[in-house]
Amino acid sequence: MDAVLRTVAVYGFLLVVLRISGRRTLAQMTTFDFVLLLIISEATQQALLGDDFSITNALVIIATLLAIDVGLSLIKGRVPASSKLIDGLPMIVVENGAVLEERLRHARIDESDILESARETQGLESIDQIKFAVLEITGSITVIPKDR
Amino acid sequence: MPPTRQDNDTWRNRTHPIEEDMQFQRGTWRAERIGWVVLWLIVLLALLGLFSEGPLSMASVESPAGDLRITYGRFERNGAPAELKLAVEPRRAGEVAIRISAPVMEAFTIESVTPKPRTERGIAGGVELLFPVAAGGPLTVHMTMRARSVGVVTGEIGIGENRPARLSQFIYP
Repeated sequence: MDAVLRTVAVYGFLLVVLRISGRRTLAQMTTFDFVLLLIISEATQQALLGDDFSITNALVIIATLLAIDVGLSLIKGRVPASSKLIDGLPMIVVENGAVLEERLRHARIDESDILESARETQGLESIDQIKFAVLEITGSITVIPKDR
Repeated sequence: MPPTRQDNDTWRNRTHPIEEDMQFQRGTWRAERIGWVVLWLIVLLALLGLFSEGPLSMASVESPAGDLRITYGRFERNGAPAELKLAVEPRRAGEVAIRISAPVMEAFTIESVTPKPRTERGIAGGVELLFPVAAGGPLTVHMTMRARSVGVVTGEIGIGENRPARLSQFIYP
């Protein structure tokens, strides 16, 4: 019982905290983000396992994690509002070559992030070559170029 | 400065190439901001010791007769070590009997006691530890316990038949 409750608590806390910290936090991983991820997983592992290193405990925790995950995906499929709440929504940040500044500011990204993605994925060099740039729910920026 | 076309336009919901809900998005941002404040508060309270080990957690209590002073942590965590310091003023040389009530024994496992008691035995309502003491000298006992339950623990620790000191602790999961 203890293992299941621990797992649910940790899963719920991580879900809320990572949602709060914003989608960019762990999406575009810098070296430091990678280290942060390692530290978070280390701290999480301790809380999940406690001092019980038995196989049973590990199996119970893995089963619980996957059960929550599957359960959430089922709920997300049935109730669109819950998907919005858990994953958020994509948002347009560039429209027909014009940057939507206010939106960028609130999402804590800047023009250079968009340009980086434009170079990387489309080989574009300036904002006015972009028809749409979308900040996806994963935190990545997808770019649709203007017709040439 | 008059609003430009884009300012008016910023929060309009687009439908192409994706379906937007900017009202929801702005709500999310507000929730994020509140969440950050909560995170900082958690860090601050942790520094202050609300989650054990800190000024808010440190407490001490004295028995009614004044023969025992206990320094303990108001907040402890399940599975984590908890320190307890008992300062005893013995009336005479010989032996001091420290009695620990059952609720404390149920909530904590005693991992080590320094100095070691000469004997320990179960008594009605708890455990009694017997320490030899030199003439007149105060006795300080350090106990390292490990919490093994969750919630409020109200226990009593006393010297022999004297009225014990009451201590109340909260153990986090």
